[in-house]
Amino acid sequence: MDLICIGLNHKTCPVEIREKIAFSESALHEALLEMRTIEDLREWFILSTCNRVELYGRGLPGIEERLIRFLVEYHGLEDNICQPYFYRYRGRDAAKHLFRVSSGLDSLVIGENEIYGQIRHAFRLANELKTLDSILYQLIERSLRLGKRARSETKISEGAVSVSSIAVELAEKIFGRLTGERVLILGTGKMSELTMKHLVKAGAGEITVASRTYERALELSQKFGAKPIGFDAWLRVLRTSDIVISSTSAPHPIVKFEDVQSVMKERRHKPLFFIDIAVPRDVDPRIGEMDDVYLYDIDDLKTVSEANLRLRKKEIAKCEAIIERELESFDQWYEFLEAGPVIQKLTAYFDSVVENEIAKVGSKFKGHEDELKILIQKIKAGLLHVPVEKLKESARMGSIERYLETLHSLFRLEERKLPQSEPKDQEQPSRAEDVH
Amino acid sequence: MSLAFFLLSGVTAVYLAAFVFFLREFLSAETKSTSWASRLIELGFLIHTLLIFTQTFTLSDKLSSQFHLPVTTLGEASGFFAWSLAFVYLILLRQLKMETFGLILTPALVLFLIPAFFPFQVNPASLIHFHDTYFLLHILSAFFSYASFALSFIAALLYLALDRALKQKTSASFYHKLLSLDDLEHFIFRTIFLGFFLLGIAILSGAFWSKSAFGTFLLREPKSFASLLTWAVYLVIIYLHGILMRKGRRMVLMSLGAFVLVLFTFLGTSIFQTGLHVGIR
Repeated sequence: MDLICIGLNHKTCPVEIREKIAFSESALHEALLEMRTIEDLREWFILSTCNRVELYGRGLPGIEERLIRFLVEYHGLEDNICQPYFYRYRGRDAAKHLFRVSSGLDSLVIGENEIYGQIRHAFRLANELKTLDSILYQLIERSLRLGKRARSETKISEGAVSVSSIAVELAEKIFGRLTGERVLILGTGKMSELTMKHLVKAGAGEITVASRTYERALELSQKFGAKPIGFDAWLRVLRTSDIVISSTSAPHPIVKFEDVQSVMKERRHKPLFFIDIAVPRDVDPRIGEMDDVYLYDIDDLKTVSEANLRLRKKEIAKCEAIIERELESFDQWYEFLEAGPVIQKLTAYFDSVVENEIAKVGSKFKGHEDELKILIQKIKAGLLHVPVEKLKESARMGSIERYLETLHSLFRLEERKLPQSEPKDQEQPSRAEDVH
Repeated sequence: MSLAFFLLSGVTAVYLAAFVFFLREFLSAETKSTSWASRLIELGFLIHTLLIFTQTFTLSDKLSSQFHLPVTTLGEASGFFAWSLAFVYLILLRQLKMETFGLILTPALVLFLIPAFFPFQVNPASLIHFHDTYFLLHILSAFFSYASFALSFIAALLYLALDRALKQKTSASFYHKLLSLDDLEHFIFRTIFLGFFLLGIAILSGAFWSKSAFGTFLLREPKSFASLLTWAVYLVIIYLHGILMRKGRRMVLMSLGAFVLVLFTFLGTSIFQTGLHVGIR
């Protein structure tokens, strides 16, 4: 198998180097076209994300170094700085690596979903620019299918792990699918903004932003179409809010037990969800003990994240098993691919034998011409059935080469040319225009 | 082996299989659009309906009377209650059906089917009333209302389990497939409202039956008073939740308390009295 993969990722390379070697959208387009100049490279595609830059292709040994040189030179970097961070995979290992990447096993956060979309995007771009042929196309298509399967058949991506997505998941466990729940933001930290963004995306409704600096509240409000208020008015808004995200830099708790106690009475115990991301904490921890109040501080969120990550890690073995099965299937497909030209030559040989014999007796045949054609097709199918099935089976067993050699010598296939009218490779997969 | 016994064994086996499938689906990562467990619970309900028909006609034939519901013994009443539970969940509340709910419902159904395997003595006092339409309406609405309250009880338990998990903050794996608090609360109070409405019908039809059979609208016996008390308690709960908009854990706990009263009305009153309220003696 002449598949290769070279690259660097968050495990092998610091971010200072990764950010220099990553491709922007336009650069990716340009680089894919420029790779045509790399000698002996057959089919290629580039996967470039914030956590990895990888080049996949096909070529003889030695092509790996040419690809690395291309990457380094393209970005105008010094060869000796980047070299130690690169990994190189060949053949089955390259395929396995892509399968692990697509199923999220190689990601910084195990099981994350973003990588799936990134591979799909890279695939579409390479396909548009026609840098893919049958083998890499098949490999990526399989990796995408595998990524989907790994996520649906195992719990590898179950449970949120980032603070903002945990907040959304918890909010949905309290309020159901978010449909206009009111959000109150106390303080305008980066994390609040990110959490708010996730909540809005999930369906949260009216947002009110309270900050000691009104201008900052206004600035953040404008980004999300929220309502800015002065910091002295937040308690009034709390009565009608469902979700509170707090991240002020106050040295003492600003959300007091007594205040929430009276607010809960007024709310008639409609649930209230506090996400306290501030350190030191903004919300009195005793509030979490109240009925119908759910309080998660930064440590609680981290605990949930770790629990979910542990859950995901338990699923790695199941994912690896799925990958192994897919690799076997890919190997078989690849091996059988080699049989394609042999089968075509064998078919052509049978055709010529039958045509010769028919030519000899054709005038004596008294039946209808269509019937004769059908009869010939049936005889050919019958003759080819057993050898083709045997080849498929041997591809599965990994012993196809022996059979190919035998067929070659038995029928002198090397002396025969491939039929011109037939497609070059019968066993090549049909290309789907759209990859789901 | 009689046809009824064969069907009873069949429905129990199907509900048990549904439970196994629910458990598998709950523990697995896959979210299937068509759940085998849900299909099985529906199949179980169909077989159970066939069983109820068989029992009804066999009984009517055996007792040479017009029509008998299979609620004349404790075993029959328990089995009929299981059927009512499935009927209310699958038919009356079909829009509120929840996949994870089956995980608790199916073992409950099996539990109520077990007494139906054992022979109990028929309560002869009840048999003479089956020709009365009010009596039949009373029986059916009472069973359906108890079933509704039982479903609200199951949902309330799930609510408290989820509330606890959310408060403990670590058991994230537990609640991934559980419904939200809001959905569960919605289910609890919808079933309570349905149960309250059906219990109202049961009380009214019972009063009319009592008038025609005994000449009085209110029989002075524990079950009648317990039913009125249960209805009144649920009226308060509905008022607090529906009119005063009270929500949350306390309301759920209140619904659990009310269900204890339902249990007392359905089962407990037979300690004080036997005979009139069929099947429970």
